[in-house]
Amino acid sequence: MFNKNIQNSKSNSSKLSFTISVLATLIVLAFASAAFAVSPKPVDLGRTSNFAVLAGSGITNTGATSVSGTAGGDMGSSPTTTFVETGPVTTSGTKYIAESAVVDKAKEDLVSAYDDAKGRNFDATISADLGGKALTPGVYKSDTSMGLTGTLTLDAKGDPNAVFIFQIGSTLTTASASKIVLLNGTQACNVFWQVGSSATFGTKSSFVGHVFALTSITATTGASFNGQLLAQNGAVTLDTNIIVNDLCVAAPVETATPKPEASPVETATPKPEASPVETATPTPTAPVPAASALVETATPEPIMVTEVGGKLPRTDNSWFLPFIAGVVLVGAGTTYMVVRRRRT
Amino acid sequence: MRKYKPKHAGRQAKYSLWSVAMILIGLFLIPYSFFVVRDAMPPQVEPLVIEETITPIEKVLPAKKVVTEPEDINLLAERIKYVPYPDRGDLIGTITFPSLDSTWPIYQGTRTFQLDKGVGHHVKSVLPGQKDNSVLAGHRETVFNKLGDLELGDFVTVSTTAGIFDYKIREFRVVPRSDRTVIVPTETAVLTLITCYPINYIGTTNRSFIVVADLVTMRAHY
Repeated sequence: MFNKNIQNSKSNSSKLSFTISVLATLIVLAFASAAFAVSPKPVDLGRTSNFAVLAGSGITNTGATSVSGTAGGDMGSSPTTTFVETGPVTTSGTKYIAESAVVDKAKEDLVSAYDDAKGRNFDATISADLGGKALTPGVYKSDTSMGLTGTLTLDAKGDPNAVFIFQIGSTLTTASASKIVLLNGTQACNVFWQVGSSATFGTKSSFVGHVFALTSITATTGASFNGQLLAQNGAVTLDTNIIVNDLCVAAPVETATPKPEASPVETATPKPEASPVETATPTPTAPVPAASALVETATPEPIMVTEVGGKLPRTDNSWFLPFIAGVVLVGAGTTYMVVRRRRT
Repeated sequence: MRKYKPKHAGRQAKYSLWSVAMILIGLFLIPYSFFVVRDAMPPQVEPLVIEETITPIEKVLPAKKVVTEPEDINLLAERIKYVPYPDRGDLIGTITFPSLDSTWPIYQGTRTFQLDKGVGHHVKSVLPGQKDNSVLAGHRETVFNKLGDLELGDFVTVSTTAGIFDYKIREFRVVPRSDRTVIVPTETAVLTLITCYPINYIGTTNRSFIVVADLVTMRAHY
């Protein structure tokens, strides 16, 4: 009987020990997975990075379009090299109007970039319209089409390297005057759009990011871009646009409150695309200020003199506290267990 | 028949449970501390290439010029400007220790968030390259873990969007954490590096290791 009671006691003890160990293991695994979770890496643009506009079956432009940017303002199409300029296109880069190996290689890398963006594991699915949403870094997927009416906010949470990737099953369509607001260090260079068919951008809309469309891209009158328009197989159609293809910068820009012109009232009543007033509005000679309107900077006050008697910052990392506590607990637990066993 | 109950069986089971729980919690905390270190260990970076990060002010100013005359340095340092001025958490540039063969990113601010990502710039001090005392801080376990290996006369290079600034180490100090003579204005362009002391010590400390360096050359747009 004594032995039986001891066995029962040991059995209960071992069951509880097992339960605790399983729970502890689960906690450790959960912590480990959280610790190793990383934000998505940027899509490798390869040799497409210099191209602000890249197409598969030609580029057509109407009205005065301006292309620039620190990453490059190149424009080209392959295998169909057609470049139709009904209106003037001014670019800081090269306009490839004939067959070129540079464009061919960029197209090869566009396929890789498209596949890379499409193949990423997504963090969340997203509904058809992005208007009014505020998103944090990650990979977002829509199996069908995606639209943008009004304002989409991308919040990097202070990380200038934060990446946003959008996987769209079919079309991407933005409404007139829609815009993307970048918050807390979000950089346009870290926003990627993989579009399963075609992308269409509304009049006077402001868009941000690298657009990889499987088929075609249409930018209607007055739409402005901080990024790239890259169509794999179809054409890119431009109409009085401003495209700025910038590299990531060391000091990322932050945005303030969205402009009032992005109000839902305007979204609900889009202006006629062929309005002569809109056609005359863009000024290709000053593309940078116009494009920088996409992001409104909130520059802090510069410090011109170092403070007197400043408090020294805390520079020790607190890693050793849990380490020492862990060692002490393991040691104490083991010692106690050994001592108890010796006594019994 | 009266059942015999062992006198200490329940208590023994309880004690053994406690010991198992202590061991398990301890085994959880030990790897956790390594995660804390890992999260606070930023990757080394390549020195910032200013030509690739042209700021608007650089576009309109004359070409670069290397300046080495000491009397000129501080005059020119007065003209160094950061446009746009970095906000807390922004990447300012990189700091390179040629003698240690290491380069780390510099972020605006010295809170945990910034220090876990690299070297932090004290927001109430001027920015690197500017005349006055520019103060940078870093964890002794990560970015500044070899600060004690530096020697007097060693160079420290800070690359930012405003230019590339070479500093020469003039002084090492160990001060109490409460010291208020480190973060102070200076007449010349100075770089002050701060980390905890002793550097290779496990546990909290109340002393800081200070490295003071003078600006000796700059390659900047002005």
